[in-house]
Amino acid sequence: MSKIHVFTSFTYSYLNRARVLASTVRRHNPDWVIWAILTDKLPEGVLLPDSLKGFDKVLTVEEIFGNETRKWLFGHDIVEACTAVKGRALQWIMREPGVEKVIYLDPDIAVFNSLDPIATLLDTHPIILTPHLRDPEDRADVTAIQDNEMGSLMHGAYNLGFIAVNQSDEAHRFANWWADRLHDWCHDRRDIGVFVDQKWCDLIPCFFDDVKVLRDPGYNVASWNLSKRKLHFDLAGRALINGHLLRFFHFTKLGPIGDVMTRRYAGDNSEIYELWWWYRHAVELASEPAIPAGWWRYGTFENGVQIPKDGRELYRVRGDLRAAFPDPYLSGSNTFQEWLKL
Amino acid sequence: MVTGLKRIAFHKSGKPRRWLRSVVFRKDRTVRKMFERVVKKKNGQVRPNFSEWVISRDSGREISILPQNAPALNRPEAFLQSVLPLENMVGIWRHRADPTSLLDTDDLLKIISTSGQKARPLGRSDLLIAVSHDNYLENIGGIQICIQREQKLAAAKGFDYLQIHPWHAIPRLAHVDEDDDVIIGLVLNGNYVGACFTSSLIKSVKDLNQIGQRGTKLVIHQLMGHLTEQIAELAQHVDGRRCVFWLHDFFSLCPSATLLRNGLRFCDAPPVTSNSCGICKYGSERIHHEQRIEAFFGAVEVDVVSPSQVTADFWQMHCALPTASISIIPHIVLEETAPDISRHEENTQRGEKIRIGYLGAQVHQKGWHIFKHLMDDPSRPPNREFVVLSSGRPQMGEDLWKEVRVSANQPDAMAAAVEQTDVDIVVHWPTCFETFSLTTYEAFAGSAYVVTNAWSGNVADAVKRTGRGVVFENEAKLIEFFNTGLIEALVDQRRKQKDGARLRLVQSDLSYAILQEK
Repeated sequence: MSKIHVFTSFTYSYLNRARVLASTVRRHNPDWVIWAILTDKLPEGVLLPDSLKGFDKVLTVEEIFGNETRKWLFGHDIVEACTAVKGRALQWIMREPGVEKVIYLDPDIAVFNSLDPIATLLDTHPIILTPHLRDPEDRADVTAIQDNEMGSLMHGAYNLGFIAVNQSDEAHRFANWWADRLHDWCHDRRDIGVFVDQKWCDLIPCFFDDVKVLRDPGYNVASWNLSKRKLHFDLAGRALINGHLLRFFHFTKLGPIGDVMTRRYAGDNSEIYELWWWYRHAVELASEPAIPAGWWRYGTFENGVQIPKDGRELYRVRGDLRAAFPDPYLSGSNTFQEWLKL
Repeated sequence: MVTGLKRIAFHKSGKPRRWLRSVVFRKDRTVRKMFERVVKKKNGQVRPNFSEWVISRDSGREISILPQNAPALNRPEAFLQSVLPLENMVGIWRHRADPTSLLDTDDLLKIISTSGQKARPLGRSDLLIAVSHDNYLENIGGIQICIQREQKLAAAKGFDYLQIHPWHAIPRLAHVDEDDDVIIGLVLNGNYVGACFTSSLIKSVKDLNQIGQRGTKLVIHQLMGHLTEQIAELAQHVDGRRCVFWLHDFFSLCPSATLLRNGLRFCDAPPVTSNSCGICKYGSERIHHEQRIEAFFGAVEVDVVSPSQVTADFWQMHCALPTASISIIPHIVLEETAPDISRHEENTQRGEKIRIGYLGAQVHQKGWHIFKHLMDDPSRPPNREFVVLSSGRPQMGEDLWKEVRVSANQPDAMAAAVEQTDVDIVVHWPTCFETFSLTTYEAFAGSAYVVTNAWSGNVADAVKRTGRGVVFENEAKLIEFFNTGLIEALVDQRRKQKDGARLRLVQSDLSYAILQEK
């Protein structure tokens, strides 16, 4: 069994993307162990025994959080939930025997070349982060400054679609701190300076030593840094970003929003559109028609009514409600749903 | 009454009106079955008035559509929205119903053993089986023109010419798991004679061989739509168990015969495991494609024929397939002729005007976007004139358009039009490697010079060899050339040369040059 483990966190609505991620990691690092962290259950009556075949190991939110799962999970929307589980999942994997290095990749990432350099960097660095941006935007490009630089100030300097750690004490100290914060504070509360699991990581270089900020432009290429990164293929067919091998691309927001941002920053770099073309069709091929669009078991009450965001927040902050309604997902009389008058 | 109906159905020019087109053609521009006889002659050839409306599937290039609908590749995102995964394309192409009847081995044996040409100057009665990807009577393109010429030469060379093509044209090799016996259409000496299973043809050729009545030769122009395994089996029953294999394109390297990645950018045939292939719609197919082509070359004695040296060099650099021989046979060669003194005065009269021409279909793949850019450039010097010579009417600049139709009967029509229009410079800026480029030779024969790019294959090579034009590294250099005095110097050179020796197009013997050697 390899000593390098990769994990990703998703619900069934992102199963198609996670499958593409897993297959591309497998292609370039075939001996690495790939984990699926699943915060979801299939719809009633849908049986997909091979749905997670591309993964070596599967860890569910129920396994990680045990009895508190439903209470805790209810306080999170889908993005918050999938990011909040990352801390405890990292701790879990680090505890597995034989694991030396752990890498997290978002499910909407695809790997294009070997990630071995990350494994090498982990020999000397406990934590590796990739910044959203590695080059300042041009002063005159106000839109790019607003979208990308101010966006980084708002959402976090580092993109938490990727993080890598080794088994050093420093890495464990980080994992414990991050897991605590994500358990208690993994919310989209930009009004108080918190943005899910990501904004917390601005503090990593302050709290921990020897952190590697990986500025190689071939890592974590995405619409937010395309203004300064150009893709081309050389005669050997290698994908190069500003002359560096493309390691992984973050296909964030597949659909109209992603298209708008890509168009805005890729300009006439036609290879970027080709990459998206390929990804769109790869995701389509990896899709399971039996899973309804936007499916999330924890997105609704038992009777199928959508859980409102303010209902989640209320339940999260009020201990009396949590005590009165220990299973907030239930429908019927004497339930939190009834209390909410939904 | 008939005249009135005709007016309702056709424009004065003879072209079908829009409503008629929508009745006759499906959305994908294939002909509805009930109108086949309206559009096509008995022998299957498309009637001239409909020719530009019939969809052409030219040798694995992206589906060639009318010029005005040509994708705007300078907006790659918009173009890619219309690009389908390969298997989706296969599904769309495979729209045709199976033939209602199929010839069996006996029928075939009768046809191929009694079809002899009357004229046999060499005293031979061999059968030449030409393999290609579609019915050359219905579709127009480089390979189809080549086959037309080869078929017309057949009688004089002592051959019956049997062209076989997959009944279901598809943009890749056939897969044995979906079709283990490909149905093929047969065109004998220019007449469609029916369809049969490939296995029936193999059996009848085997029987013919055993009877010893006549020799059989195999020429492969295109393998698209066929099972390589079946064509290799066919080759086992022809003379010498060998075949002539043309490099009209690079289908032997990749199912994307033009080596355009996703139909967009020339890829240079990188290793199939590369990132470039990984994101290309042809990438996953190419893995098996390469293996099957390799097996074919391993099973058959292959005499490879390339229409140009630069193509042969490129091909050999990008694959290591075993070959019995490699020959260079250009479709056409240029021959020097005496100067035409009568033209000298006209040249002088035209003065400072520089005439820039574009030849053929107005598609991105041939550099229409570049020509259009030069034409639309508001800062261009006033002494530039632009002219488009083509069969299809361009979307803009109609006053600059001159209709030219090249056919087997008028093969020199384009060269003559270039000459008559007195074009100084032809802009030919293909997006991919051209294995031959008739356009370039037509321009030279019309006394024009050609400007092109460094990745245009035989276009660039021909320009360098003849010194009749310039090869540019990129579009910016071309534009700079047009907006400075550099173009004047080239035009001066061209006009001086025009008064001297001239070039004329001489057609080659195509496959016969090899067949008669072996």
